[in-house]
Amino acid sequence: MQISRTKGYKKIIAWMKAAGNKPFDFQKESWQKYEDGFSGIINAPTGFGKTFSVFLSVIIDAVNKDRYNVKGVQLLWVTPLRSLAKDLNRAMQTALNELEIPWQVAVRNGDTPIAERARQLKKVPQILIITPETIHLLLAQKDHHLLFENLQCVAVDEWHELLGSKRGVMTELALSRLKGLQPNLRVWGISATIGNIDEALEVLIPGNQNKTLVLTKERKKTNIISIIPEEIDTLPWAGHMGLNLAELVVPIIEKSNTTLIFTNTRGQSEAWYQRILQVYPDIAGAIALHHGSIDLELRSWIEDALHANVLKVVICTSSLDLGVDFKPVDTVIQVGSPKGVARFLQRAGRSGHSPNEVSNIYFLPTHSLELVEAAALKRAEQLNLIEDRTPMVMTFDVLIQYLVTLAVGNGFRAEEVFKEIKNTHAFSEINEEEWIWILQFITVGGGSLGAYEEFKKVEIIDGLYKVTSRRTAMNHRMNIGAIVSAPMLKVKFLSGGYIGMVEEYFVSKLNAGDSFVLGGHILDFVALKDMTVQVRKSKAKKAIAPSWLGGRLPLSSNLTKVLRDKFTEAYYGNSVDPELIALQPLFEKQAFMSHVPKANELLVEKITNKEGIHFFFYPFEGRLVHEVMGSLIAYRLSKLSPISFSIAMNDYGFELLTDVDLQLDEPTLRKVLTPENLISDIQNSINATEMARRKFRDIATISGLILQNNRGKFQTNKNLQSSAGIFFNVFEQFEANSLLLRQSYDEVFYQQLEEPRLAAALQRIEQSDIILTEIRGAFTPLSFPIKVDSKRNAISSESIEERIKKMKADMVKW
Amino acid sequence: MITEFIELEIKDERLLLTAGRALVWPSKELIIIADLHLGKTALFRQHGMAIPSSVQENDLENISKLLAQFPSRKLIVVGDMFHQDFNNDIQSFFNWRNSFDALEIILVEGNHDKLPASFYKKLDITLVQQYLDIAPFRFVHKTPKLPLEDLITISGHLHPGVRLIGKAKQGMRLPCFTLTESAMVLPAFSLFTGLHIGEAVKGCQYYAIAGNKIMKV
Repeated sequence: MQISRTKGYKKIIAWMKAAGNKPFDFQKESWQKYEDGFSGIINAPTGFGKTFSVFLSVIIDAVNKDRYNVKGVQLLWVTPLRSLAKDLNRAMQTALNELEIPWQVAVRNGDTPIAERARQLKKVPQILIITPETIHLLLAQKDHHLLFENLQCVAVDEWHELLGSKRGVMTELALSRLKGLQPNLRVWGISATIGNIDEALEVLIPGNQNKTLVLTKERKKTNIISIIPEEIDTLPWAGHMGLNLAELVVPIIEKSNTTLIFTNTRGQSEAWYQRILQVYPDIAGAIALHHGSIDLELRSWIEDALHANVLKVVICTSSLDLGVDFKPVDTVIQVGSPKGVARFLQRAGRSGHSPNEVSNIYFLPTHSLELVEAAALKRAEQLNLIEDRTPMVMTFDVLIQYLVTLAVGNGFRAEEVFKEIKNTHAFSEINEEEWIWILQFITVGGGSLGAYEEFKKVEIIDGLYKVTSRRTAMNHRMNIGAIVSAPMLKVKFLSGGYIGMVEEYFVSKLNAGDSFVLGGHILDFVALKDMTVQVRKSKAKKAIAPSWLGGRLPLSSNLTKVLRDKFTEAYYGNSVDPELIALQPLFEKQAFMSHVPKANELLVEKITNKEGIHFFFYPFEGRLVHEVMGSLIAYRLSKLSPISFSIAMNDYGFELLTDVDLQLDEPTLRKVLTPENLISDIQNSINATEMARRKFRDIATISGLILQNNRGKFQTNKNLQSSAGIFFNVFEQFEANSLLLRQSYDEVFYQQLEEPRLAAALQRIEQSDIILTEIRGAFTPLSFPIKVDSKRNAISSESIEERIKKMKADMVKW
Repeated sequence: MITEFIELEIKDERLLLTAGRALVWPSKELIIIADLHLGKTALFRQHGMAIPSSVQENDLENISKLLAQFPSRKLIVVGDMFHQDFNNDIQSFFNWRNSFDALEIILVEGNHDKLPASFYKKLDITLVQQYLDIAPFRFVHKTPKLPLEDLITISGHLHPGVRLIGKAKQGMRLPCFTLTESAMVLPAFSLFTGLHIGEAVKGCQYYAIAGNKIMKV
C-alpha cells in the first residue's frame, strides 16, 4: 500500500507540519519500506533525523492498525551508549504525547534502578530502550518470552559502532533468538557511513529476508583547516604531544562559541589541559577535561554544562566521540593524527550539528610530517573513503556466554538454537564438531571425557539445557557482557573526594611521593590501600601523566593509501595543498639527502652512524603492520646470516638497527619482502604464544572461565581465585584442542597482526620499485621520527637459557 | 624427563634445588615441597569453571618422577597440601598414596589445610602443627617475620616468582626458589597456582625454573 494514503502517515505529516517540519525523502522511503514488511539499514549523516525514520515507521503502522492499546513491547530500541538513552526517551515520549498515542517509553540498562525494573515487568512499556547487554540480561530471565509476545520491530542504533566488536556479535545472537520467538520481526539498523555498508546489512539481517538500504542524498559539509605555523621550523620533526602550538589554538577558541579539543590519549589530554591554562589563563572556569578515567559524575556534569553553554573549551579523548549532541559546540580541534577517516569525520561532526550547518574541524599537527596526513584526510573526505568495520566471526567466548544466558533463563533446546545461530553471520561457518565441543564445555567442562568430573554448570533435563544452581545463575548474570576492562583503581584524596580511575599497571610503578596528573589536578601518591589510590594535592609544578595502555591506534589502510599518493605529489612538488606547500623545504631536504618515495616505490634508507647500521623501510602501512613486518624482515635476514636486530616503528615505516655492516641489495630485499611462507615466518618471528595469552584474558572472562563483574570487582571467594594466565597455561598443556585457545590465536593473527593487511602490503611491495639510498651520519626527515620513537622490539634466535642469562632479574616478590 | 638441579651447601648440609619445584636433602633421603593444593581443580569444576583433572594428575605424576630420580624415604610438605574440602581430586590422591605406601609423608599445616584429623590418619600422613625442626632447618608454612637464631627456615605459602626483563619486548615470569641468610622459600608445587612478583630484595638469591631447567638469576 502507498504509505502516503494511510491515516497513520497523514497523522504524522500533520503533526510535523504543526511544528514547521516536513519529512526528508529518506524518512518517507523508510516508512514505505517498513509498511511493505522490509527490514533494513538507514544511512544518513547525524542531525538528519534518523531516529525518527524508524521510530515513526512503527508509529504509523500502529496508527494504521489501531494498535493503541496493545500489550507488550512493540519496539525494542538498541543503543550502544547508555548516555543516549535518556534523550531518546524524552524525544519519543514527547512525540507520543503530542500525537495522543497512549504508549509508554522506558529505558532499561545498567543504570536502571531495581524498583523501575520491577515496574517495567508489571506494566510493560511499548517502547523499550536498551543496550545489547541488557537484552541478554532479559533473555537470562525466566518468562522473558512474555515481554516480547507482540514485538514488531527491533531498531539497532549506531550499528556501525557495534559492528566489528563482540558487542555486535551479542546483538546478532540476541536478534537470532528474538526472531526465533517472533518470526515476522522487522529489524532496522541505523548506521553512519562506513566502507562496507552492504556487509553491515547482511550481518544485521542475515538470510533471505526482505531487506533494503535506505541511503540519503543529503551530505554533511565539513570544513577542514590545518593549523600551520608561519615558521614551519617551529614544528618539530618528531613528537606526539603538539604542546608547542598551543598558542595558535587560543584565537580559535576566542572566535568560537564552544570548542572541543580532541586528543588521542588520556595522558595527552591531561597535558593539554595544563598547557591551555598556561597560555590562556583567562579561560579558567570555562575549561574542562573529559576522558574515560574521570569520575562519571563529573563527566555528566561536564556534558550538562556543554548543553547549557557555560563551557568554552573541553579537552577530551574518544570519550566524547559518540553520544548526545551538544548544540553550543561549533568548533572542533583534532590534536595529532586521528589515524582514520571515519574517526576524524565523526569528531568533526561533533560541531555544527543541525542538518544544514557546517562542521568545522581544525587539525593541529604534533610533528611536521603529520601535515601530510592532514592533506590526506582532506582528500579522503572528498572521496568519501570511510573505513570498513570488519564484523567479528566465530567468537566462541560470546557464544558460550549466550548459551549459558539462555540456560539461566528459560533453558534451550540444542537443535533449535543451533539452527538460529547457524543463521547468524558470526556463526554461519560453525560446524557440528565445534558445536558439540561447546555444548560439552558448558555441560561437562570440556572435550576430554572424564577429565571434568564434578563439573557443574549447565545441566540437560529432558533435552532442555538449563542452569539450576542459583549461585551459578547469579554469577552469570553479573558477568554478562563483552567489554572486559583492564583492572582499574580508584583515586581518592586522603580527605575523601573521588577524582577518577587509573590502571593498576600504572600504580604498580609509583612510589610514595611520586606525583602524577589526573583530572587536571597534580597529585602526590601517598599509598595504595584497599584497592584505592590515596593521594594529596601536590606542590609540584609538573608531573607525569599516567600512560594508559592501549592508546596507540595504527593508521587505517584507507588513510595510508591516500597518504602514499600525497607523497607522490610531494615528489613532483606540484601540490596545491597548503600543507604540502608549507612542507616543501622539508621534502627538499629529504630529496637532497635521500629520496621522496612515490606511491609505486618502496624506499629503503641505510644510515650509518656511531650507533650502528640503521635500515629504514617506508611502506606507509600503519604502525601495526610495520611492527609485524619489521619482525618478519629481521627474522628472514637473520636466517641468511647470524645477526640480531632491534626494531622500531611508526605509522610510516620501521627501522632495523644492527651492529653488523650488512650489505642489502635489491635481490636480497625482494627475497625478504616476499609474501610467500608468510604465516609460518610470522609464527617464527613473533612470540604468538605471549600475544595469545594476553588475548585469552578477555576470552576467559567473556566465556565465564574467570569471574569478574562489570565494575571490575573480581571473585571474592579466595579459594576460587585464579588468573586467565594460569588457565591459559593449563589449556596449552592439557586441553590443546580447546576452541577458546584456538580463538585467542585467531584473534592474534587476524585482528592484532592483521595478517590479511600485511599480506596485501607485501603483495603491493612486490609490484613496487625498490629505491635504496645510503646516508652517512645524519638522519633524514622521514627516518628521524622513527628513530626517536622509544618503543622497541628485538629479534633474537638465542635459546631460553641464553636469554635468561642476558636478562637481569628486575622484580621479585613473594 | 630428568629434571635438572643446582647443588648448594648450607650449614654443611648438601641440598639440591630441583627444576621439579622440590628441594632434595640427600643425606636424609628427604624431599620437600610446598603448596600442592590438592583438590583445587575439582573445586573450580564444582563452581562451573572448566579445569581438567589432568592438571592434578600431572602434579602427582611429577612427585612420582621426583621419587624415581631422587629415591627418598620421606616427603615433607610445608603447608597447603589440600586446597579446601574433600572431593574427587582427593579421591584420586588416595589411589596415588596407595601406590607409594612405603613413603612417609609429613605435612606441616598451612592455612589451607582444613581437613579433619581422621582424614590425615586415613592417608597415613603425619600432621605437624606450627613447625618441624630437623637441624639445621625449621620447616614451616609461612616464613617467620624475624629470622631465627640457630635455624634456617624452609617454607612455602608465597608462591614466589621472578620477572626477567630483557631487550626483547616481553619479559618472562618464572617460578623460583628464594634464599637469604636465614630463610628459603620454595616455589608452589602445583602448576595450577599463580606467581607473586614484586621488588627484588638485596642479599636475596633467586633460582628460577624454566621447564626442566633451573638457573640462578
